[in-house]
Amino acid sequence: MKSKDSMDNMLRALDGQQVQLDGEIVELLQVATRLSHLHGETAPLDSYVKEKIWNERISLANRTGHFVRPKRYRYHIAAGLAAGMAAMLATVLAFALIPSGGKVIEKDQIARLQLSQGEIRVLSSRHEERQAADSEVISNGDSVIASPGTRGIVEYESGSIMRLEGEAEVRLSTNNGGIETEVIRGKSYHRVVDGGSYVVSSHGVRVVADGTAFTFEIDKDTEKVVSLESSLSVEVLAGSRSGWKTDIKQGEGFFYQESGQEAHLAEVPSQDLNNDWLRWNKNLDTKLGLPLGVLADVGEKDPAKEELAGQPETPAVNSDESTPIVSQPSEDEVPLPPGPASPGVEKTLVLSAQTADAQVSLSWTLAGYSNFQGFKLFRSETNAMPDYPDDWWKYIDGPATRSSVDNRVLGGHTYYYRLGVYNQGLILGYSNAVQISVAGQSQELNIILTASQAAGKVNLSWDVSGDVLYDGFKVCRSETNPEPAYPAEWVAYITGATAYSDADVKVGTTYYYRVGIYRNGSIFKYSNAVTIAVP
Amino acid sequence: MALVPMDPDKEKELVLRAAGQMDAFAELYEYYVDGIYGYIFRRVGNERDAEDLTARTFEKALGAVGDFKWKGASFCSWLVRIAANSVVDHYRREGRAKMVDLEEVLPQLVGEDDPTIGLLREEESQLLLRAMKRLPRKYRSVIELKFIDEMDTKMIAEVLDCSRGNLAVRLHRALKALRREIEKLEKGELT
Repeated sequence: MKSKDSMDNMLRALDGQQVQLDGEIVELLQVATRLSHLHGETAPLDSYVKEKIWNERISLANRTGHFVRPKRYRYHIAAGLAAGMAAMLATVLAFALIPSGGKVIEKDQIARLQLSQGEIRVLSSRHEERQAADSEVISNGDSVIASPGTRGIVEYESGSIMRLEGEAEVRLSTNNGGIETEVIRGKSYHRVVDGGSYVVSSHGVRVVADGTAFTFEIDKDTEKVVSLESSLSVEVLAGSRSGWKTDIKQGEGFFYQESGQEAHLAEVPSQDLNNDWLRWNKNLDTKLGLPLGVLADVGEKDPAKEELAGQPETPAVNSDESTPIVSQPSEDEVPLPPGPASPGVEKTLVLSAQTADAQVSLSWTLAGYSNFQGFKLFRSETNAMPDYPDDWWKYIDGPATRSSVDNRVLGGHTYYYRLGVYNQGLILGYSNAVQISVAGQSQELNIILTASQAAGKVNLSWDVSGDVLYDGFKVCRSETNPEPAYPAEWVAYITGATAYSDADVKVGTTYYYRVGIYRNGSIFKYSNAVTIAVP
Repeated sequence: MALVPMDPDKEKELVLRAAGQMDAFAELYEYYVDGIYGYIFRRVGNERDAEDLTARTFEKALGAVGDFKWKGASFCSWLVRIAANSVVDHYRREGRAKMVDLEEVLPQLVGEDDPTIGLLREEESQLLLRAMKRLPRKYRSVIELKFIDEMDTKMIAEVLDCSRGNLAVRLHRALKALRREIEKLEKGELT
């Protein structure tokens, strides 16, 4: 065992300082000298790229708005010859050094296209465009562009399938044997075989799937992923929630809104699945003998169409500018599109609230709306105009429903509510906002964390008391910071439980832990910190 | 480019302002973006992914800079840890490795820019890389940070979240293990 001074001198020598060294350390530093040949001098980023990253990613991540940097930080476009040469060499070496987990796919055929109806064009990575014939070969880097009214099927070499409908555009590629699909616009359905890597992404969302079925849809500025069979992993790629990951269970949807740069997870009402697009997919999957998941409950016909057939259509134009419409459904995506504006039919939605027995009863009246599925109720304690997607909400099924009870409220707290008319993932119009105070005493929120260790694991449990409504808990850990914090130091996200066993610990190490109560994307209360040594 | 921490006082002043003032964050970005890009590039080996992960690193940093606490570690090492996690996530997404973390990311050598060095240097590099690939991950990672990323030992300790003493022990053992592997290769004991 070397002395502490001897070891410290070794570090100093490695940092280039003149120090006295013993013989063995000198020999080791000769090895270090040989290693210095390996140092990788990477060329700086091209100034244009720096500018692009700043303007297109980081400024956008800043929710206060687009930021124009001071003049001295603006870049000029310059040729990056050195960067290019370094990149080329690095790429060659990277492929030589990285042990590939999957098969290497050459730049050639990766899929075949089956045209069910309509017209599809293929744009190659060399920007050569062609009209797709049935059984058209799709190569790595090709974009598939479907015209309105089209239905097409992409059959990958791996056995996975993607189906497209309407005006859609996707770019197909492979990466280390895995499939990567970039969705530019429109609707896509993905049936993924077990094994291998299957990634679908857009500007704001990335999905990683294995042995599952899901839809990925870009509708104006909303990117929507719905898990239809089994589960999948989703990550936000842009905006203030960049890096946020979650799993979507069967029947759940993940919604990312580009304009607000927000994301949320929600159960998808069964009505949203009952449309021609998913019925088509269900029928094809049934013929292939594939598990249907939530599509098993989708009927042969659209019940809403039958029920509402013959009813006069009403305008979707909101006459009240103070209650904004998030987005209007497009004609090819909503089975029963709202009709043209009809002068004289005013749309109103009036919400009122009462409180008793530690709950809030809400009721409403409406006029002028038709052809919608139900309502969304929004609630906030801080936002006087609760809204999607920042505030808590719940779906209220059925266009005839006129009341709802919210029992997730706390005595001594004041809440704001608003109601939205909901159809096919869109809010067609909002009600007035109401404010109501729930009687009772507010209790101080507390979370107490305790920890123990056994068999190389650290076992954590915590008790929560007082007034608290939360989404889950973030377990934070550090070896150096006595007060580990989210997001830099979190190791696990726990929902539906108040305990966690951390097996990813090293023997002979002391850890600091805290657990944060997590709601709406941030921590609003941390537990006490605990220190525990793993012997 | 090697990552060199900014003057501590200046860095602290900028970080404290960066949570609310984008011009402060812009200055941090300007100073560190090349170093972070280089760190990532050496691990993913292509410009497109390195640029994307660099952007992600700074996006995450912007989102969390308000929570950054001065606990003896610099903002620079905090950035490297975010970058390391971004690389880990990248590898995990790409399916190149299972349960990858910073210590499991294999080194990727960026080429020597001196064309006169020739084959001897290349053979030496190949020998060293083969020896490094035989090392346990925890030894390999510390060698990467020191000799490929050229970080000083204070920053390596911050990035690896370990004490200076622990780092010294780890580096000492890593170099000894590497020397053994090099000797085996040079004697032809390993193919």
